[in-house]
Amino acid sequence: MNAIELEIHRHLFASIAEEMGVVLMRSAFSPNIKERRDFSCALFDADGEMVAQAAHIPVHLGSTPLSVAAAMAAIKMEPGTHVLLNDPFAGGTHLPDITLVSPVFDACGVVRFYVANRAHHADVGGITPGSLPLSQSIDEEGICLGPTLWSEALEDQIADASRTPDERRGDLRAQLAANRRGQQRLSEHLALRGEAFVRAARALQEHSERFMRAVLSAMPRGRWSFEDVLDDDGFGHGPLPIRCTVAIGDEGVVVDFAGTALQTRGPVNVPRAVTLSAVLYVFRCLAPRELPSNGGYMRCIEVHTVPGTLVDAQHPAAVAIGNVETSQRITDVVLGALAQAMPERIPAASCGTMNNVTIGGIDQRQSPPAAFAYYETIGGGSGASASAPGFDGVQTHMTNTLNTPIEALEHAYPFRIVAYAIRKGSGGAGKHAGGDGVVRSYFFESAATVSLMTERRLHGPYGLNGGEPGAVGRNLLVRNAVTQRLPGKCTIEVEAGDVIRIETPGGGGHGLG
Amino acid sequence: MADPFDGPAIGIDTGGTFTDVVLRDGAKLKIHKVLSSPADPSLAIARAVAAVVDATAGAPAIIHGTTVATNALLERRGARVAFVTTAGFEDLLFLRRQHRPELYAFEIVVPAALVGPDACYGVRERIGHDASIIEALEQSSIGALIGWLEAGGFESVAICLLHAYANPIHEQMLGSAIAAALPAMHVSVSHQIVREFREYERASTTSVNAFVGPVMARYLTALSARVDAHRIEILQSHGGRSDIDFAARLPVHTVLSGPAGGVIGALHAAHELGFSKIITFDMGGTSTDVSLCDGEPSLTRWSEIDGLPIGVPVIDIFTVGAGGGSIAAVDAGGALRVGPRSAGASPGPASYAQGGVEPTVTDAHVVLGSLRADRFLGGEMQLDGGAAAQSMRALGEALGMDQRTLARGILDVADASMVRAIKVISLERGLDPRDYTLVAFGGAGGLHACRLAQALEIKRVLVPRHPGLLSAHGMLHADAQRLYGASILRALDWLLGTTPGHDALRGVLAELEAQALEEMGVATALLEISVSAELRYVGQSFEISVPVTWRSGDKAFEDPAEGFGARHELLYGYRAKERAIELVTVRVKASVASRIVANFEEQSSASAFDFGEQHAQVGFGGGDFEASIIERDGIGEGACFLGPAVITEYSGTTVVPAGWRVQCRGGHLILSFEEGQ
Repeated sequence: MNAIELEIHRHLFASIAEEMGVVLMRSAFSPNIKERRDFSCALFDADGEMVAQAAHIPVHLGSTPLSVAAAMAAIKMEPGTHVLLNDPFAGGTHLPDITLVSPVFDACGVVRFYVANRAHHADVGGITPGSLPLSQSIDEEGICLGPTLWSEALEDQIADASRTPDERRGDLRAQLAANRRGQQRLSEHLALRGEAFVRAARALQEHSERFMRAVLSAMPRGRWSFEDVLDDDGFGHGPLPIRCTVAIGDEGVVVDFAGTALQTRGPVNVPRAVTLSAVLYVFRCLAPRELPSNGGYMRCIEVHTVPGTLVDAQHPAAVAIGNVETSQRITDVVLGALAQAMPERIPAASCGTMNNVTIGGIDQRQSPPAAFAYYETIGGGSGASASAPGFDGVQTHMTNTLNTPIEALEHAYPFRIVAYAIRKGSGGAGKHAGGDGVVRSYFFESAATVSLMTERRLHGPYGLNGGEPGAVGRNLLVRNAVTQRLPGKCTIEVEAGDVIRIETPGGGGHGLG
Repeated sequence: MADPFDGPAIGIDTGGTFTDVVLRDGAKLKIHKVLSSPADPSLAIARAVAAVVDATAGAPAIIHGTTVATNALLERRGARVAFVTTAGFEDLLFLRRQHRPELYAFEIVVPAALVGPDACYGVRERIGHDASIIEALEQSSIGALIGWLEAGGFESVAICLLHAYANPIHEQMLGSAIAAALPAMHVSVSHQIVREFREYERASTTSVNAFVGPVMARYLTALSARVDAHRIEILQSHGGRSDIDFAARLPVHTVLSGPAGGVIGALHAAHELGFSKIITFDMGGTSTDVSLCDGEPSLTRWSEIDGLPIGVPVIDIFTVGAGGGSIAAVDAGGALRVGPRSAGASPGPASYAQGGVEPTVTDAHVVLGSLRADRFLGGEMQLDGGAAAQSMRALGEALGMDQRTLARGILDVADASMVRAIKVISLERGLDPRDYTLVAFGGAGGLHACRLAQALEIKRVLVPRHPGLLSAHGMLHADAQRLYGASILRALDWLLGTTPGHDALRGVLAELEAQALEEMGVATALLEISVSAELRYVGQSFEISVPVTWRSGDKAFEDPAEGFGARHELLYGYRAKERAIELVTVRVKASVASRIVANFEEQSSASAFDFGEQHAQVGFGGGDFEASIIERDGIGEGACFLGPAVITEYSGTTVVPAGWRVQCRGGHLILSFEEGQ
């Protein structure tokens, strides 16, 4: 396939994935998908290798292909069928992320492509609203489904498991609508272009592989190691070291996580899929933006993990927040290793946590009173680099979700935001200062259950080249005019009149100030 | 009262290089171009008006499209602005929505804010989502704010309080107190600009208005003085026009008006020929704008300029970074990319012979013969065919392709990104591009129109007359128009089913209607009012706009649920009958339709067959053909001929592949694909 046909097909596949994303976003029900856009859509070839991806968030990069592989291995799909899954140990990441995989057949009834989308559902059961609990095993985290054929009964099963069944049904239907649109478009092109269309998908993957090899060939050769820690697992175990060694050679990159802590009791473990995503994210950032997002470039990057460790957890490990927190620390250690190889390109650590806040309870304003579950993440400071200071109050690395507007949130839920500001001075000092974190305060009009799943409350984001670390974050409860500090990971019952104040970490500084 | 714009009128489009003017007097058109005067655009306007107006015959009304506010914004040359909000939220403009513009980049780059961190002020007050007053605004707070504003030396203030769309009382108190105490201050108040929820977007819109307000006011004062005999109206980003006072007060409505004139002009040309469903395709040097019109332009409520959200209605235009100057290059993996890098105007494409050496889309056309080297800009500029060919050489060798194959490939790749843009505005919104006529303009529109039409199975292309003046011409057909909206955020059942709900909705609609009547200063009978509702299922956060019947007389509002369900099903493949529907926003459009009839009489005097025809070998998508080279000025009314042909004129070139038939009607070229060829 020549250079021209490659580019034309790249547009074609990318536009199909993007159209799926538009359908999902516009027709979904939960703010999490519509406002925060916590989802991704992708196309795969018949072998399950990614052809194009859109509306993606980085943590889905390497993990969605594993979902498709799991679906293909478990079920022989027929026309009209769709496979749903969220089991972290069978192709998923954590339970709220539900993936739907659908096959695309040619006129002879042979599967030629798959389409998949993954969306974060606000509640899939488990011991606390929002399904990001301080759990000790997967069994406490909600409904867990290995690859399962989609049916109305399955929709009922998921809805029944959730505190917000109507929203689940709405979001699931949106996921179905998105895949159907993708199937329809791929079928149209398949009918029109036949085998050439299938070959184009392969050629695009090969193109992306060549592209990444060219990027890697410009990097220094060598091996570099780095270690950083998670504060704790929420059950008193910590600090938990994550260690990696990055080796760049002529054949590609090997990232080895030997030396990382064993899987732990609390929910900070991750399945290998998440580790893979974090590594891929870092190398994508080092490539020019034109690098097409497909399975080709992933072939150049090998990731070694030891089953049973924090970064390759096995059943029945608790994984609820590993996806959002541990993924950030994995990114930090890979960057820390690469900073030794390419000090001019790699920034100091960013805030290193998504500052997950989940609020659930009964909304007494509705008649009859109705259950609600709300989830949001809060940005922090980004790390400074050799060329620029960090940025204030922003989502970094493995997430890029939008915040929910305060005016939308107060309309939908029985609590109010009473402060939302940049946390001045929280960025690490240096020649270039790290970005500042965020302050966000919630005032509760009625009792609710609040889960805080946050990191970098004990160990701040590292600085580089003599720059200071960013300030650690703080979680505070103000009750009856008394302020008390809350642990980094906790679930508490708040009362009417309480205020919870979250102060997120700043980014690390760069260079001596 | 008759609309003064029904008589002789002038459309003026200020561009970067030229200021275009079109005078319409009955069926006659007079057109003129003068060099722009960027330091004070009103100078060039005065010159242009003097050139077309016979001073003894009165002073025609002027409709003016201006980029003064846009440029002030893009170049950050606006006023010193203070931002005032609810205490605790002073950093709202800096926190944005917390996302970073580019996902896979370590360095986060966001265009500079309009307001300094030291220019943000929090006022103690709080309104709830239900319009309740949680904390009242005290007089002492107002006094302290005024003292701070005075001491800070601000020219302009943007006020955006939380939930002001639901209850504007505190914003009103602040606005009127500041106006009274500091009469020189330009005051922008969020609920008057965008009365809708989403605090960051509303605050951003308000701050943009505050930033460009004083600049625009000074410009419009200068302009009025220069052409003081003329009534002036200003083109808005939604394609309507407003009086000059409105434009000075709410200039945020003009910051995206640049492409609006072209879309209105394209739509008018289509209407003259009896077409109403069009896709506009405006391909320039660095980018291409596409938009879809179903009888009228599609509007969007939320758009962005230079990274700043704008929440006022704007013609929904999708832009891709592919234009005549887009540079072709091979990426690290060996695929051919066209754009987003552009040779721009300087050095320009290689064939401009101004120092450009990299191959561009324009150079590909020169190599293939679809751009005629000797007829560019009516022959005023000679293109360098040798330089175009030379620019292809290195890239062609790298790819193992001869020049013509590469040139074809460059055009194919450019087409792929433009096809994708058209799919975004049609297929992704549940509309089939095959039902539309493609209206091509801009310097390179005609070069690619039939190619795109074929790729999208569009059967008809329209190239309007005077495509280079389409924008100025379009302004003459802009309606006097105001758009109003208000967030309601209530269940539809409650609004329609209970007396208090009904009264609340009627109250809001009647209020908006009264505001329209007052602001537009015309009799009720002349005003066309249409109402739409933005609806969603409870829990969704994306709304679908549905027209609703609203009879001002008996204040009745018809249930839009059925229309909503049907539209939802069309767009997303399902409807959720069991789910309650929420009315998020109501919108009122008030317009005085321009009653100008088609001016078909203005035609070329050439006879239908006097083409002065030449022939040349030209490369098309399907291969090389012997094509007719035709001067557009020579194509008379009623002429009809078949491709392959290349039609040249001053402001552009139209390529007609084999299988396409050209007809000239009303001065416009209609290109249709003939079945079976």
